[in-house]
Amino acid sequence: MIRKFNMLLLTALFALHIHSEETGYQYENIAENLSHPWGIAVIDENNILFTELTGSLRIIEGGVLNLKPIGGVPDVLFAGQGGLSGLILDPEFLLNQKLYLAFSSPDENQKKNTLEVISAKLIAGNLTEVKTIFKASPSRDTAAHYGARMVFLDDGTLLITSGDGFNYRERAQYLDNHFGKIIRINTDGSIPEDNPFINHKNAKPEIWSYGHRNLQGIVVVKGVVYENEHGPMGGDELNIIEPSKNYGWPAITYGKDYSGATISPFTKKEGMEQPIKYWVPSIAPSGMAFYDGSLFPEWKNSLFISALVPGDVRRLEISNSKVISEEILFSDLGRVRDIATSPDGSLILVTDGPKGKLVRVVKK
Amino acid sequence: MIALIGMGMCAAFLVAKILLIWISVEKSIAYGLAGAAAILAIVLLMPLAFYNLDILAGARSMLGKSILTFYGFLSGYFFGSVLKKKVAS
Repeated sequence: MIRKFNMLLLTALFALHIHSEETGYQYENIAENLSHPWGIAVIDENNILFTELTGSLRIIEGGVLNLKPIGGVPDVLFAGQGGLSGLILDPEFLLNQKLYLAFSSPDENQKKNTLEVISAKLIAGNLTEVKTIFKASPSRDTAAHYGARMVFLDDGTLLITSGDGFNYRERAQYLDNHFGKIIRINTDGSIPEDNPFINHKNAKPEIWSYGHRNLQGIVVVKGVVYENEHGPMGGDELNIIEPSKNYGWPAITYGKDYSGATISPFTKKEGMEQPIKYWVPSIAPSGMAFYDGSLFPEWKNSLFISALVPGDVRRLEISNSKVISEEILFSDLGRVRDIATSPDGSLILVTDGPKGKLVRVVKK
Repeated sequence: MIALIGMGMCAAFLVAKILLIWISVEKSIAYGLAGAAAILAIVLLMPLAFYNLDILAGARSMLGKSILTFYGFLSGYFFGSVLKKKVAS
């Protein structure tokens, strides 16, 4: 009897040890009851900007949420998946206070809308010098699949993800529009002269890559551009993006339509790029961050992808352009909309929904 | 989506009821028209329910909507024909 009890005790202790090793982190709530928080930009460990889809740009100052939203934000269309979405700081933000916002903006007659990107300066809690630097063309009837994430390339140009608008999927294969594209522009809105389709007749000169669906995460790691996007029912993708390349949607896909119908019988085709990883069933990837901090040495050089379904974060190890391992983390927080790294090595997660949170992941 | 299908079914029942009770029409034709009404209601209401999105990709154009509605008719017609045969036997 005593031996049995000892065995049980040993097993319990062993299980506890494994659990504490598995969860060597804990959560700290930075802010809660946020209205559909979406994009995040870390100024430093205690100062964080984030967007709310409903149209507010908010700031955590000295670790505390400022209850007054940033002023001067343009009107956005908050409908469906649309609203104030992507946010990125200028690489020289500490010197020039410049930032960039991506959002769905209604047309003048309010019947159609499109993806718009502005640049602005953040001065004393207000946006000034607001300037539209990109507007996706043509406009759409739908309020879905905007993309709206941004990242800077090492040369200082800005990449913007522009989704396929849901109803316009076939147009992702044509270069005469911005549906299902990655856009590359200069920060003043001008077009870099070395863009791949700048001399193509009938092509939008801002296009950098095409054949995308609903691009929700983009990061640059040592010059390599990683992008994730939602497939339909299954077929979410992680891609390595190169200029001028065609990523296949909807001609090739690992997903099915929501009705169960086949979108394309093909998953591969010459001249179209393969993802370095795809998910069936879908995980609905959202934000993405590369971890090179020192707080969690075991996570160093990992790519983190936040996910909405069922709600967790995927830690991927990548070697030679191949995903060699995948670990599921933070599956107790619900839908995770975005993820960022902080200079102190902690991770910051944005949970989705009308009562969203900003959560910091720190060492236990 | 279930609510949408429910509305489609309501449209179908209404059409079938009108045709079968108030107007003299062959049963299989009445069920065919009921099937068409159900699909037409679903494809027309779908964008209103999902932020202007046509969740059924085939229903994005008028041609697509028409073809789906026609298949709704064929399904109803087939159902009506089978029902007629069963009643007769």
